[in-house]
Amino acid sequence: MIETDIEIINRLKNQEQEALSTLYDRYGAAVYSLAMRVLSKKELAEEVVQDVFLTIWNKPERWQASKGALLSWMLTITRYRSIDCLRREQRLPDTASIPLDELPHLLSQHAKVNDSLWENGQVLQQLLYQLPELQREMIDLAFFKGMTHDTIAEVTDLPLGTVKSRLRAGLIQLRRLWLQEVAQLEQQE
Amino acid sequence: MSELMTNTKIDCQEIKELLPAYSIDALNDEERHLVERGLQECPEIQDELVEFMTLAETLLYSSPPETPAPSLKASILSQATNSTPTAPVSKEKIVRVPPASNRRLLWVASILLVLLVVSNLFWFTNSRNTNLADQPPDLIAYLASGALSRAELRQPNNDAEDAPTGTLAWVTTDDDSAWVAWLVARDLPDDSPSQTYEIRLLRDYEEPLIIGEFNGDDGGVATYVFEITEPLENFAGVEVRQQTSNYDEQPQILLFGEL
Repeated sequence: MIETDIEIINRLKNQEQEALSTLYDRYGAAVYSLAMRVLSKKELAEEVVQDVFLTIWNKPERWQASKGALLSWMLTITRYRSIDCLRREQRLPDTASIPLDELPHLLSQHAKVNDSLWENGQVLQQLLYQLPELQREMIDLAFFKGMTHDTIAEVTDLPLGTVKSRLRAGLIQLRRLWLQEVAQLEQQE
Repeated sequence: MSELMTNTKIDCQEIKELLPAYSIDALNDEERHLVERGLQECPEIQDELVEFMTLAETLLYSSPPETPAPSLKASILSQATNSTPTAPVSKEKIVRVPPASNRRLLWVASILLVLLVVSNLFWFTNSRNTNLADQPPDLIAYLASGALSRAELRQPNNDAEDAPTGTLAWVTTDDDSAWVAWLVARDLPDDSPSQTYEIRLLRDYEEPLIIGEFNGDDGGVATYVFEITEPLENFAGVEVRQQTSNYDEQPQILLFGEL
């Protein structure tokens, strides 16, 4: 019988270290993958992963099942911590170093996370590559680098209006592609 | 105050256009406030927001899979063994101030008491929760009993001696129905009397809760008192931001502390 997330969290509340081990085995790769996506640096990503798991170890009661999946919560924390780390390091977002064009073929080479939301995310990642590169770059800077419109305009030296319209168009297009994909999947089922 | 922040009629189409960026936190504070106000007045756009928020959640899962080094798990488990929090976590995790036996704690307690006296007029006239407001002697009793929790704040990535620091301290009523908190910020920038700061409580799941704004004094010290009906320890952290008059500029995070 596979232990549910709620059962794992309940065991964490009782300070059972084995539960932390189980949680790591289940979601460690997903958390690390997102941290790497934001930080592009192994040492920093590992720092964030440690921070996320120790936060959950110390404060498991912060997860509320009614508010969403455990992994969504963990990834939300991971994103914020990674972006904080990025800002602390004061590393300018090196968009050229983000191997956007190399991502799709890496999909099958690495760790897998047994989670349906993760599978959806991997589909979404491929849909991102159907967007014009300039729109994709805006989404990357905003979502994975934690930049606002204003910061993106400053960093890319583009007019603020251009940044706003590109980001908006990119997200609308991505949503359209995503809804089409969901509809197709539903038809197949 | 910018035009966006005034009480002009909300343009639902304008709010709708901001939703995609709102869903991934790409708006500045002013635009974000506008959207949050607009969402209350434009219920017809809420379904669209849900769609974009779902997309944003799925983006969290869209990173290419990476395999962490095997040593990472061992390191985490080892650190967990060394950090043995007291369980159950919620109440016991609060940093309790022990009986005031050292000078630093006495100093902090003294500041808080002075602050309480100075601020009580404002507080009593503004408090909507009367549990504490009606019984001021209780507060003194709470402070005297040492049932005071606090968090230390510092400026991220600034270890300089004259870097801003702060303390957030709070007490609760016997029935845990209300919490009163004091923020004392020190060594604020020189122009602090004219500078507006914003205090916000950070959540794991949601947008931060903006508590209010305040100014510093000539000596670079600022104080702020607030009352809240949710336990402070439910929040992930507290942040003080230095507001800018230029809305194209990002507010600087002046102080941060985990709760």
